[in-house]
Amino acid sequence: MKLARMGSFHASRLSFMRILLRRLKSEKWTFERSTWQFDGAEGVAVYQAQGPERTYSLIAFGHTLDDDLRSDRVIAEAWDATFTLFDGVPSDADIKRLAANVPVQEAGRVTEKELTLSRANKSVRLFDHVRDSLAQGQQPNASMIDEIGYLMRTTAVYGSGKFGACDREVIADRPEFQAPFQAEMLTVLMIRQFARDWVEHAARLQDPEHAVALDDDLAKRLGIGNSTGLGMAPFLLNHPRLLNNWIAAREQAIAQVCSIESISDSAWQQVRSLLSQQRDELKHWPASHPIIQARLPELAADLEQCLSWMDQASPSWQALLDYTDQRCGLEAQELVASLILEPYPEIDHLAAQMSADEVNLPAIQGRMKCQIMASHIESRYQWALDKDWSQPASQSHLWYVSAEKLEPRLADRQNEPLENYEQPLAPGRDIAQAYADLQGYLDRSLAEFLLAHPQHRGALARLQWLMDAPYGEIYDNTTGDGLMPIDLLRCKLSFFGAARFDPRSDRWVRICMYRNGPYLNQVSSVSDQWVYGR
Amino acid sequence: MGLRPVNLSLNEAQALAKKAAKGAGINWGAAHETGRAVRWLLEQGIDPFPGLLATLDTHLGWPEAELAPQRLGGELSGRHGILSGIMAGLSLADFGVQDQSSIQMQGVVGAELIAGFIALSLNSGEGCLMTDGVCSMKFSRNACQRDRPQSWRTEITLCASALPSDNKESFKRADILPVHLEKLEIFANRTYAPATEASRLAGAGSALSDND
Repeated sequence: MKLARMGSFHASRLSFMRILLRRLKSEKWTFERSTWQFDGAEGVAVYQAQGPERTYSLIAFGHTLDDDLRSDRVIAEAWDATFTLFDGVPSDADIKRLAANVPVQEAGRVTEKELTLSRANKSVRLFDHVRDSLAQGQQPNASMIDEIGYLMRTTAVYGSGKFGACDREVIADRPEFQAPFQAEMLTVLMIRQFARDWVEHAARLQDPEHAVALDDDLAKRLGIGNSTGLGMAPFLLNHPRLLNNWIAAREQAIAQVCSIESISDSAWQQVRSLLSQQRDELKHWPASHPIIQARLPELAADLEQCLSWMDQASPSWQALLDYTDQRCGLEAQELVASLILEPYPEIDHLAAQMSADEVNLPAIQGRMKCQIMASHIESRYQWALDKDWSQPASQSHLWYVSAEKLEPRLADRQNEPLENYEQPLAPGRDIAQAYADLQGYLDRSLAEFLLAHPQHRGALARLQWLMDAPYGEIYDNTTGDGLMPIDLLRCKLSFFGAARFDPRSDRWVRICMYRNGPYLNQVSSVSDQWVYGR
Repeated sequence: MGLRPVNLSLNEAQALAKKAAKGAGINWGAAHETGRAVRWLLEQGIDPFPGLLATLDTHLGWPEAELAPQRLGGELSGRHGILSGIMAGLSLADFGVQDQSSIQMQGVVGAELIAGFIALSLNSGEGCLMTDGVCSMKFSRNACQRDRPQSWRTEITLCASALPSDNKESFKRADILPVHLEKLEIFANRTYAPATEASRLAGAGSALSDND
């Protein structure tokens, strides 16, 4: 998979938010706000999600934050609100313990009872506008809601053992956490409810006599934002088996749908209608950066062509994909590939294949002959073998971790002397270097090779892990001068189910989650097509 | 820093061990495997941190290749009479120990780490015994049996063996003494670049206001 294609991915039926809501609905989960203790603008709220076997609780702490402290960066040290997802129902002692730790995020410690740790900042413009409008007994401006899209944006949702929290492996056998990132998606779903409750609370504080609740239809158009930077970028490189399973499930779904010979007219029209809707909604896609500004007109034109083609063609999903491959840009190709899955709930079971056990990856098979390793490299990494890695442009960037709150960053290799701190995030280069040294050992074992060349262990272990994982590698240069880190971010976020990708730079993006989705009292009746407002 | 152990998730412990190993000069691939070996030991209820720290201290003084077995076969030792438990464990896991009668090692630092690496390379039904003449440890991919609290000597023998009894439990958290945590973080910090104002802005790509 190339970075440019990964950077054009769109959400689909197999996105993690969709998977979560399907389960919550089918298993008849119930929700309640069990605690709301706010003294003015600050306080704590607890929301409980009860499933067939277990209860989870979102504990939300609301804070007063000076504007000059509001930052979406990892280096921030204060936020408008902070959260944790608790495994069970917290006692007063739990809440007291968490009140001392969750608001300081990375500087605190949580325990195996906490599944996630998160924080969010207000969209100051929209939060204040909605609060002021409601306080005056009026509804907020719908255009402003559509333009901004969220009251609050999360700036991190940590899970899987971070800062002392529960490891994913401990809860991976629970059905509700079978698919990836379900605890994180549940956290964000409940944060969206908190954001709505908090703005209504703020309006009542401002004018208890005249304040009104937010209209349901307007509230539905609010998602929860997310602001993401380079911290997320290495994830897909560091979790190649997981990346493989995500893309393999999506590819299998597409192949399954394309193999359908007799396509119903209603299915064809459903996809056409969704394409038309997506074209119409492009005007609401925030396009504040040239990266996305350059893409949207082409996408609009491509969707127009697709719609015309669908009106004239005999229904065939494969033919539609062939058409987009030949005539459209990557944005339209990937959007169409996601949308053709919509009429087919029979692909939903593939969600169960999207997790990966990366703790129990096999050890290196040291007895494998170097000739076999070299042959695999030739068949899968020819692009890396063809590249001249001695050229500065091939390695113009290097990835490092800053001592400042351990923030991942990208350096200009020529001008910043940080090679001693380089993270192993250039698999193409590393495999090419290993391949060169393997040539003297082709008739010997990998164990012998690694005894003489220990520096290649990481690259060759990765190669073995991916021998049966065709989608686990990114077949592109992740340190070159053409690198766009937001391609990595978008790929991951699209699998979450994010929409409205709004790059702020080549390494920083804002998105929107759960727009058109249900609030907690609506989960039991949520539509399969909620993401499209249907 | 207090005296009470700090409770870590296994993912935290594994990540910390990996970064500390890299900070001690071990290559990223071996550092990654070190994290996995440390996690395996923790799952068996073994405290790997004193042995890990002793090994990493040794690595600070030598290039990693000089602390690795100089050849396989015969008695294993490092170039200067010191054999890193990390480098020995990696090589033995790579070459396989099941078809060798017994393996002798001299000058070993961090002996229990060797078990962690080898255990992860064993197939179902394969067992291994490690002993220094006083302490012994019998282990498989998923279980470990020890005879006493262990302080390993430097001459180690390893051989294939019958399987150990199944563990009563698999440990899911790690307790680490604050003094060990502090020392490992010092190693890990060597992998982090000092922050500068330029890197704070350009390196992360966001100099924009978030007050919107």
